[in-house]
Amino acid sequence: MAIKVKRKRRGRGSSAPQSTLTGEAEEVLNRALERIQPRPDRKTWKLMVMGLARQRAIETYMEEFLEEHVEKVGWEWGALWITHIHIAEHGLVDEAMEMYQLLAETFPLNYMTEMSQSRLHRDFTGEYYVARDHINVAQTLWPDGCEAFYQAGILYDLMGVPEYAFAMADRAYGLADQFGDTSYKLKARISFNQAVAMWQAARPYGDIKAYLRRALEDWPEYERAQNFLDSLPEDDEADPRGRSAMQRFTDDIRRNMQQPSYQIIEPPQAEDNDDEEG
Amino acid sequence: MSDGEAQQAEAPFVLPTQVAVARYLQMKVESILNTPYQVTGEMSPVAHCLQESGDAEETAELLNLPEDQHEIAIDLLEDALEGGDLEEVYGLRGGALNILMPMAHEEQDRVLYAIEEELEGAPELSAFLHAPNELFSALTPAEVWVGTGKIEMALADLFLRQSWLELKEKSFPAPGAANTEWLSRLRLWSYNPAQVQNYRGRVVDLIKQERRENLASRVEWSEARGIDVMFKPLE
Repeated sequence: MAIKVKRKRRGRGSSAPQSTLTGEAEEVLNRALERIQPRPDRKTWKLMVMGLARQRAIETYMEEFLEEHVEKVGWEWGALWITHIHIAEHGLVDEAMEMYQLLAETFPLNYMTEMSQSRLHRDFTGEYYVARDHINVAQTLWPDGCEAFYQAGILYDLMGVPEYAFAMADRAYGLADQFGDTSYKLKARISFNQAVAMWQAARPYGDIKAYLRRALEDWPEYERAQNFLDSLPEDDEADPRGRSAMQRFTDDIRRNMQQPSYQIIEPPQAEDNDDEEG
Repeated sequence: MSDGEAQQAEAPFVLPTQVAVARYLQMKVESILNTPYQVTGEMSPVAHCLQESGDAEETAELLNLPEDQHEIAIDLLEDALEGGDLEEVYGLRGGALNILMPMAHEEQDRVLYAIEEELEGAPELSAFLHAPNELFSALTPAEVWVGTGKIEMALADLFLRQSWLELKEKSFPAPGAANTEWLSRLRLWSYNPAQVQNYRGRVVDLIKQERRENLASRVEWSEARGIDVMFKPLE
């Protein structure tokens, strides 16, 4: 009597299920799957996506996103989404661009995908205007996403526009509580960044100090803010003409400086930004 | 040692991207055109072109520049004779504060786009020309148009040499990453007092002030020649 060998069934239910994507898109997906371990499949992709979303404090957005696009996103999207985030963070530009292309053309646009793409351009390609455009898309997709405003502040600082950096950071501060127990550190960093932006825009030292003090209220051990505060001169508030020490300094230029270098410009998405002092 | 390596060893600094190199060349020619020389009658080439020759080629010939710089000079002088064109401020313009930025394209300018799409008015466009612009590190389009001055060029050369000395041994995962490191330094440098004799004040303020003064002079020379300058400062 012949012995029957029970063969293991391959394909269905394995870690690499059949994809509905074809041609070049399938090849991109396969390359993405080779880059990730464990591989998302039909059973696990949602759990994996939400796990990563929790780490980034975007679970509220992602729950709504998955609910809204339930018929359009599945394990293929999940695999690409997770892999793209990691690949972009590691600066693998070509692979990340390839995955982004597929995500953007085949699936609904996603906040986190746009944020990853923005950081990729800021940190690895030096295309700062493209980075700005991805952040703008992210802000449209989720107007309450703290990270998009926080990162926009950093980007505008790099682009040499401190007023915009300040305004974006201001919006981020109002949304920072979505980071839960760790939000106090983020809030302190945002206040510090705002103080730096004010220093860059030659605002009065009294205003700069107010933001540094706010940073230290949120996180008393924040050494960087304390050091910056300690380095600022004392006499600014006593200035009888109400002008900043920095402006007085620039008045000493041999040329005649009639106007401050900058004007404060309101942020584009500042309509409901009334909970924090500007 | 290869030719490229030998060239690099001799260069006072090496810039992180090709765009930065092209921007540097543009900045250099702009500063030449805004600096007085004996060959142009103790006036700047721009002043010579607007006040004396009225001919871009004729003025540029006096400078005896290498071919690539000569071509840039002709374009800039012709633009000055025409009173300016908004298209001219995009691309590689913007001097020291923008040397590490990518190419700027007109369609990336959201403020201009909003004006063209919604406002459609001369007063709005005029205000736009004199408002700090995020594409130009908060310089106004008018300040970009007038070009780099000699003080700005001297400051930029010092900064680039110093940065190269400090960064040349450092390795980066991509040219863009190196550029971002350079750019962070550029911003810090620009908000601090300039370390140059005879000048006091923050680098960014010195640069803007020099550009404003050059703009005022250029408008004066142009108007004397009957040229209507698009970037004329607001009253």
